[in-house]
Amino acid sequence: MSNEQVMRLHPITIAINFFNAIKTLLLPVVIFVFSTKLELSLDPSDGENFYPTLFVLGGAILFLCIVFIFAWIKWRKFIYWFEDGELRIEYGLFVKNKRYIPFERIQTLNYKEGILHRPFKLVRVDVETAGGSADAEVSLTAITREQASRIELEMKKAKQEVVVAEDGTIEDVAEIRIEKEFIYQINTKELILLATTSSSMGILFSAVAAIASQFNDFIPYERIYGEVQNIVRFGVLFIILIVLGAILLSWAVAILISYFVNYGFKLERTEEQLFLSKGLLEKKRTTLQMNRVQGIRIIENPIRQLFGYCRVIIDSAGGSGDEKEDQVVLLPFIKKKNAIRILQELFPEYVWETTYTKVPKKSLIRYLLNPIYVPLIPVGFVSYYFYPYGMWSIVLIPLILLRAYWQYKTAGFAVNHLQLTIVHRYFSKTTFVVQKNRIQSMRVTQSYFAERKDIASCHVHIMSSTTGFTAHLKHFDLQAISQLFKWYQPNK
Amino acid sequence: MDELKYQIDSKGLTVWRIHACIFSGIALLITALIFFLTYYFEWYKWIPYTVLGLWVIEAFCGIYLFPKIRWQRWRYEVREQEIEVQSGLFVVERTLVPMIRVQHVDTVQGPILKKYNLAEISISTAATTHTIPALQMEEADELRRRISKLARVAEEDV
Repeated sequence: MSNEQVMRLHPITIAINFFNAIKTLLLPVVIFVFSTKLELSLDPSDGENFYPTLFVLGGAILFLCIVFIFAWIKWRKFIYWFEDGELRIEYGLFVKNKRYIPFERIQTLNYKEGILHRPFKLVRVDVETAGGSADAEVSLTAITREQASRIELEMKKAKQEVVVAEDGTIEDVAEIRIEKEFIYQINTKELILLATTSSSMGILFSAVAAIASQFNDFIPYERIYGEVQNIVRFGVLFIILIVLGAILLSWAVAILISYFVNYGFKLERTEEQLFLSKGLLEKKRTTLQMNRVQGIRIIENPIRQLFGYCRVIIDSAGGSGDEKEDQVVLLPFIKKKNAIRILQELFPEYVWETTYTKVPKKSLIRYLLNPIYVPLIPVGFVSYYFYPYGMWSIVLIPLILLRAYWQYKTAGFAVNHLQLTIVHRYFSKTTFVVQKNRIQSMRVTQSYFAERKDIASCHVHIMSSTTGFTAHLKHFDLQAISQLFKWYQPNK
Repeated sequence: MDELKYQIDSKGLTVWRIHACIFSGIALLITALIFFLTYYFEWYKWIPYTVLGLWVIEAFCGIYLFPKIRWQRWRYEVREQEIEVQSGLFVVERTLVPMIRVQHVDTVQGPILKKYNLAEISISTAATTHTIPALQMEEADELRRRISKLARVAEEDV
């Protein structure tokens, strides 16, 4: 520690911590007390109830004391100070945590004032560094407004010194009255096709299935177990009809939802921002800072790929303000040709046509076998116990193999100067492009068996809204992966 | 790819073994409980012996084998422009984090690590967190300071 002044949070923090702890613990305690059906009595002559009552009261007081002591320790052990252009924080009793945050890394400071803050002119400051996980932020539960403004000043000072160019985006929000340039609007045909080929149908179907499975709780399992074989024998048609009905229903609902959500989708831009608006019942507007774009994904689900349509998603460094959306859909449904044309216009620094390094032949076996192991267990189980009809589940295996082969055929990557392009398939084919300086970290993995065959996998992490996104390159040639790893090393 | 230079402190291996011993100790208690229950409720004899067998395997792997392999695998290097970390048990992982991507650095020290004067460093980028476990306390502090400094020198937009 230095001669810089070490600061503590305002003591009211103890009260805040105390009440927060009580709040979370109150419900279980109340439930416990009521479940014991204790009859409380303060009459000493009522010996049967009096002593338990004393015991409970004593316990409650002890409990409150302990909670209070912990709240006090938590406050006591939390110190922060400014040093070397960093906000430095140390906290924790048993596990000592030290967190040093450089001021210029602080993205936003959020202020909150609760009931306990106001009388003392205090404020709660949440320090957010770029997006990131919940871990990436620090809360100063209660500090004076002067101290809060000092942090802000410190942050602004640091930013002006180092990142002069960047803060232009922050200050001139009011200034942007520049004419927006129209880029694209969805037409009715596209909107309907979008709705009908929506992949959210799958999600919705599983939601319906999940809800249906809830009803299972009310159904006696033993009887069903006895009847399963009957159903398997006589009810196959019945089951198929139910499943088909569920699929059709969820499809219809998905079409409607998708239609409402994406109605009138429009994309506009200015020099530095993209403006997206959509929605029929609930209008939604998103503003996207061009310089916050981390990566771009072109997604083609199998049906859309067949007809040459795709969807484009932007990974953006979210975090601040109202743009806390999971993914920003830049183009919900568009001919791939047109999508590329628009992307070229919006992001001229990216390359869209390239030749890919493909997965080597020796990795085919990995692609085919890896997804097989786990399904093999339930398939074997079902085949054995519901013989002979359970044998139908074996049909799954070639389907899985087929998809695996498809994944093998699709996968590839390419490096063009400072850009990395990754193509892979889950069900949908995804083309992911990212600039080197947007990749947060890169990880190469190699199992013992892969090592012997000179095969390696690579995982590329970027920042995307609050969670981050990882693109996987599975089972490529070690040579190619090594080159990619070298490419990622700074200044080489 | 070349082998990385630095290994973590050999006392780290001891700490991992202590952690594993605690876990195995609890597992052993449960095993003993199963023996007792078998005796008491006259369950099949093979049940407790199977559990015991599993416990022996778990203890051998958890206390001796896995920490040893993990420790041998663990390597790191903090260079001017990047941090490289290698880890893994069955699958070797090698991670590269450029300095300009580092958001903040933490050192964490639990009670056992503290006893051995060790600390763990965790390095956070905007999307991921990476740890170097079991470094000498002074080394960890020094490293945290260095990374924090280097990360600031290499400034660029997120």
